[in-house]
Amino acid sequence: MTTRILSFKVAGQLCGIPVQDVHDVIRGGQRMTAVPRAAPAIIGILNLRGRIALAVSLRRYLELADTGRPSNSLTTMSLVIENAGNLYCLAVDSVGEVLSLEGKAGPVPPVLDAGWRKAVSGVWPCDGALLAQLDVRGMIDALCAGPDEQMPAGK
Amino acid sequence: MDELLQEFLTDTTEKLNALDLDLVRLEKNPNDAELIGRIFRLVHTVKGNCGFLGLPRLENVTHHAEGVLSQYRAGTVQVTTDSVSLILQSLDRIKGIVGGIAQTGVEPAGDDRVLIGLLDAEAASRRQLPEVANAFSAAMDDLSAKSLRIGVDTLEDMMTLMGELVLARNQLLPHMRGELHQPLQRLDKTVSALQQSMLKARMQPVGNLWGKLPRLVRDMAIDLGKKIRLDMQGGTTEIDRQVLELIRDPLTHLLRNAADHGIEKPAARVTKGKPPEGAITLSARHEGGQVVIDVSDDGRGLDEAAILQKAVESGLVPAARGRSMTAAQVQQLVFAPGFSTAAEVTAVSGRGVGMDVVRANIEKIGGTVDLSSAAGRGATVTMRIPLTLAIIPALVVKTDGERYAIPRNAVREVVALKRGGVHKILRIDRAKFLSLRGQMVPLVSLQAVFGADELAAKALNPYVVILHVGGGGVFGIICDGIANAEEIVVKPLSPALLRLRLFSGNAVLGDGGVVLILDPSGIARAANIEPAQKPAAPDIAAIAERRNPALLFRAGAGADRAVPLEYLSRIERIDMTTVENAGGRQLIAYRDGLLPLIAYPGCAAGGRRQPVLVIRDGDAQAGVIFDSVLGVVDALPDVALKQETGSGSLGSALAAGHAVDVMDAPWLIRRAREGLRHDHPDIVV
Repeated sequence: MTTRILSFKVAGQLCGIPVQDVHDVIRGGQRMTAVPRAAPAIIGILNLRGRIALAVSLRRYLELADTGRPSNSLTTMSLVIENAGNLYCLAVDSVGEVLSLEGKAGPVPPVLDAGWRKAVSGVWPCDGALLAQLDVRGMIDALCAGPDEQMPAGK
Repeated sequence: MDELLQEFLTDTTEKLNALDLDLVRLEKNPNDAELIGRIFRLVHTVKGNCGFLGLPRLENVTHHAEGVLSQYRAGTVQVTTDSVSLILQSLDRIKGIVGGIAQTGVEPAGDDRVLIGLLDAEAASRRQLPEVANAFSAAMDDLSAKSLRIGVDTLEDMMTLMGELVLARNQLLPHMRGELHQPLQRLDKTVSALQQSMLKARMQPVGNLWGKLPRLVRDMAIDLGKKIRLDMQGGTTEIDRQVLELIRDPLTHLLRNAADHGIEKPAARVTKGKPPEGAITLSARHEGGQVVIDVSDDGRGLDEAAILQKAVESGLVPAARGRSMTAAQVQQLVFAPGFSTAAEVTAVSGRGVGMDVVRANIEKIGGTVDLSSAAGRGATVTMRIPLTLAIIPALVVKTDGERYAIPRNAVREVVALKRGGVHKILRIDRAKFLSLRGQMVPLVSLQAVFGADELAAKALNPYVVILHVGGGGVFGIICDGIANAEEIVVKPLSPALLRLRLFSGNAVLGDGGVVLILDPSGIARAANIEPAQKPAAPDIAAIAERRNPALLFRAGAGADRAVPLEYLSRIERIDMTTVENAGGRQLIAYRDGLLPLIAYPGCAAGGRRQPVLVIRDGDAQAGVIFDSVLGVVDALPDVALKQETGSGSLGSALAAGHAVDVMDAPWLIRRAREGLRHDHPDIVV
């Protein structure tokens, strides 16, 4: 069985998601509106051809060092995902090619850091490197569920 | 499914809904031949269609129901509550069958023999069915060629496209110059007109929603052993069908509440001097771009003591705080999450989900819910609902470099804070207020609510936008500037942002930027402020003009005093040894709560048992210690010599031949409630 995976990089790590889950790939540069008091991974909302998408930084979601400064525009390439009628924009560092991978993804090694462990659904060997397949739906569900309480107001 | 069958199902459902309304009217008006004729024709048409489409079970039930109706029409059987119940029961059966067909495409299986037996017994003096050919043709005439059925989906699609068109128009408007000026102007006008007619196409009379309610109220009245009349006014008021769907549940809930908690049993009503039949009034009207729907009843009103007790028991309100709450504040407690006063869970209401859900649902669509109640005289719930949700006028404000939209409905006014201007921000610790026409309006800094560093960005000329929230309260938000006012196309918020409860949606602006739409009540909650209620500031001219009757009394030395009777609720004599001093206030236990006391300025109040005027302004009350009652005058003339506020007296007026001091009741109530201050040594208790 062949799985077609769109590969991309986040903080140097090769990652991927099934290509049929990707609605679109956009370059950075779109104007973005910040959402106060949203989860740290949510970096803003933006206008994608008249529809409003939620921008999520994968670096932040994976709890990695965020090199980018807070910005009012999308600075990196992003994958557009549609889930339950809503658009999500996953900001990544760079987008690679579509890979056709044979067989099944290997299990998630238990040694991963917490940030990665919650996001990776499987691991593929790929040209002498490892590609981490991300669980996009799980990620969206986690962002939508979250605790019900608001974070306390500033000072 | 067969198109013919589909059409029959839609048509029948509509007709059945119409029938509910007619049958309840029939019960009240059994001799209305015209009404009986109409009901008969409707049932007959349904039955006729059944035979035609091959629906034997449905046909059988309608046939027997029609048999009973024909007896009513001929006047051979008396219409009683039982017989109307029976007809309603058969209609429910018909609805069940129709619902089954709609789901599966075939008639559901079932046994109707008991029902049919009952129907036949009712029509015991059954004769030959009257000739019905005329009735049938009359029913056919109803089908008018002037309207066209359109799928709701089609309408929704058109509305979405309309939204895109409005956005594109907004984006073009800044370029309206040179040779593009004229065509763009025309485009602008056409889009606006199109938007209007599009909105109109989605409008439905509120009455469509009300059709089912008389039946609901009737059934509840029978279940509860009460007599309830439902009056409906303004059913033709039109509202967007999307909004109509969203207010269905809240409205039903309010009716259940009114019938279950509001209206008393007939015997209880009679002992209170009310007619045994309770009335629930439903009214709708347009008011300033909104639809206002009132649900009022003439029942017992809210039991503030029970509400407070329940709130304290469930830990919603600390007992100490409960004692100092006004009646209006206590009434607002019914909107607290999970609050319910029903002592026992009845089938009708009292399941612990109640007014909080109603308010949340109405606020979700940008509306507000208010409640007013008079003990023993009933309660009124007022819902203000936007006409449409799709495209709304909004004010766009700026703060911290970002723009936010506020629905125009929520904005009361905008106040510019200029350096050296009239309006200044007042502070108590970190809490900020704006004194606006005598009202202290609490302020919220958006930056603080949003967790930004407030000191980092300081605007030179900030604005305060005064917003309405539920319960008639107002508060202000401080923002850096006003960007503009424009029509925004509301889009639902991403599910990941819903739980923030600060925003009600988002929208694309004319320049392509995205803005979040602020949810005023969410902001107030997040900032943990209590919105200011309607000001109780005395309006001297208005008070004097009314020439209302007044009580004359003596308090201390000097001229006689007068208090307008509208402020006076009782005169009591209290034991001064029971007065307690708490936080600078003098309090006594009074009825179900605490009454703050104040001596009339200049009154020594030396006695052990002292007379007290219990005065009330709106929901706030206080006791004023005085010396003795002199009498009553019918009309208190204008205050001739005004005194500045803050003395307890409005000024002097001529009453019963000599000058009297007119009491400044609102000021005294406020002063009694706030407690005594050291800078007023003349007020001694």
